[in-house]
Amino acid sequence: MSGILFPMNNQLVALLKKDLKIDFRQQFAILGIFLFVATTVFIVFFSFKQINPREFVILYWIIFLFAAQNAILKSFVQESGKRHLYYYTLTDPITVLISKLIYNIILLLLIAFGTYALFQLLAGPEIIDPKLFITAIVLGSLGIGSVFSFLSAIAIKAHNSSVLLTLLSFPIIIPVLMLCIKLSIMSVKLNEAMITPLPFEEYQSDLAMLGGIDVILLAMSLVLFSTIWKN
Amino acid sequence: MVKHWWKILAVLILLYTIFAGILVPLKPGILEVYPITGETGQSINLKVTGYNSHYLDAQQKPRVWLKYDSVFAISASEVNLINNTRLDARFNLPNNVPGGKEVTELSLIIHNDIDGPSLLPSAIFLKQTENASANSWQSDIISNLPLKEGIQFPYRSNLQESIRNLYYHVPMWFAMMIILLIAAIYSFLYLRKKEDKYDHLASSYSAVGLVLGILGLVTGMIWAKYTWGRAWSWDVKQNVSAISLLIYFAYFILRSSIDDDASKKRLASVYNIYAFIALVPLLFVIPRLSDSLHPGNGGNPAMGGEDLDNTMRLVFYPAVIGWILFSAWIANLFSRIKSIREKLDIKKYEISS
Repeated sequence: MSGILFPMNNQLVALLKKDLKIDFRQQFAILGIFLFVATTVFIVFFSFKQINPREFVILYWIIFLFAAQNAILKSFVQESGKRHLYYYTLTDPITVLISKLIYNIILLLLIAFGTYALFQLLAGPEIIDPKLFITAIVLGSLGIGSVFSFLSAIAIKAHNSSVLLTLLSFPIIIPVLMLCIKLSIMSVKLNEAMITPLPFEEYQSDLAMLGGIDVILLAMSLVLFSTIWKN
Repeated sequence: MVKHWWKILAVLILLYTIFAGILVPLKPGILEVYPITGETGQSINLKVTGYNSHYLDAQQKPRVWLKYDSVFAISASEVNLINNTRLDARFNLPNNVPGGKEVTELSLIIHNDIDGPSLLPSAIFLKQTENASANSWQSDIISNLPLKEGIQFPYRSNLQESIRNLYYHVPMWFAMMIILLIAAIYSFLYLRKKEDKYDHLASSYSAVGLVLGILGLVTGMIWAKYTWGRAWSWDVKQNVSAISLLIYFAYFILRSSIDDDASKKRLASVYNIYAFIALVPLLFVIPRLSDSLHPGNGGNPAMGGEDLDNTMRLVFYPAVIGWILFSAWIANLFSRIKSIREKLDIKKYEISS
């Protein structure tokens, strides 16, 4: 088993290093996304002036969704065509997908926490249940990351891939997004009367559903990815 | 001819369910009463409007009750028949509300020998006042209510004639899910065997499933116009069904935006499988997250149990089978057209080159 796993792990690490190096060299891409987030957050605060906790959470997830779409589309578009063929000769598709997934999900987590820090810096609501909020962000990044990574691998084969990615992925991402919004609304202080976090029983079924959907989406990406890759 | 029996069967079943669904009458019911409030100890004259009822034609004078629960009820002191669908019933309301409540709802029950029993839940509100009178509740007076059997659909005061939509709207959604499942299976077979015919079948089944989805949405909107008051009220079930249609529109946009034929078929098949599995949380998980007006949610009647009676089953189950068979037939025709077109294109190319 280790004999099979070791080379794969080496390949995985090499692929992750490669992605990191590319992003270090082309800093405009990754910085562009953070700039996108910052601009949108400023527009939101300019136009809303005063923002209630519920709207804050919804806007937070919408901004995150668009930032995530840009970030992930970039990771497949920047290495198109021949480079895919090159990877295909070197390693197997599952390793490539896993490396992309790990890289993208870490990137999304960075974006999610970065966006949150920016909101908090300006004027965000108090989070009364940080554990729940972080869980929602992690599970949300997992689901959104896997759907976007998988579908951008399809979309880059077509014309007009950024529009196509939106068309293909948004309807599919809606259940994940709705659950994330619901869970994060539960974790913020909605009014002055709320002092203690909600009991676990209040949200355990939603959490289980979100986890279940994530597992289904991840499993399908892994199963179906090898068929997209061969070209 | 022997080969095509199931297509003939599909058409016959569909014709049967369309006509039976429209023509079979509803059971008699109570449309409305006036006034809708009463005070304890008062004597009120209820003007009752019936639906499909035969108050005058009946041999027996209708028996009329106001019912609180399975024990307490009062019977009408006087019943005047005006015509087949109108009667006036006088009640001497009791001098207290059971259980010491301020206000309670009473149901109206009417029985005669032609119509059988009919019920209007929450017909009037009874308010506790200081009026003193000798009237009191009677116990166990509602008895001898033989049900009338016959080919009739049940009367529900909140649905009325719109109950017939069950034979069109619901089977279309059932058929859509089955047809889209078959499409996903054909996509899987295409990825396995790489034969063009499976891709033609998958895309044809998806197209027919999409049409069924649109029909289901439209019939639902027509129904909602009459029962909810508005065709589109941003109900969660309406939203998720619109989104599920978007997924399949995206499938066809994906197909049209890839030039290379082989990679178009492969990627479309992958997306089709992915989309079908992603449809499951969308259609079955999201509606549980929020309140919905749709039957089956929040105490609204739905299929199963007492809501689907034997006469409805006689039409509903054939309708499901009929729509599935008919859609499968149309999808197969589509896929054969596609196969022939592709063959002709190849021939044209061979001749010209």
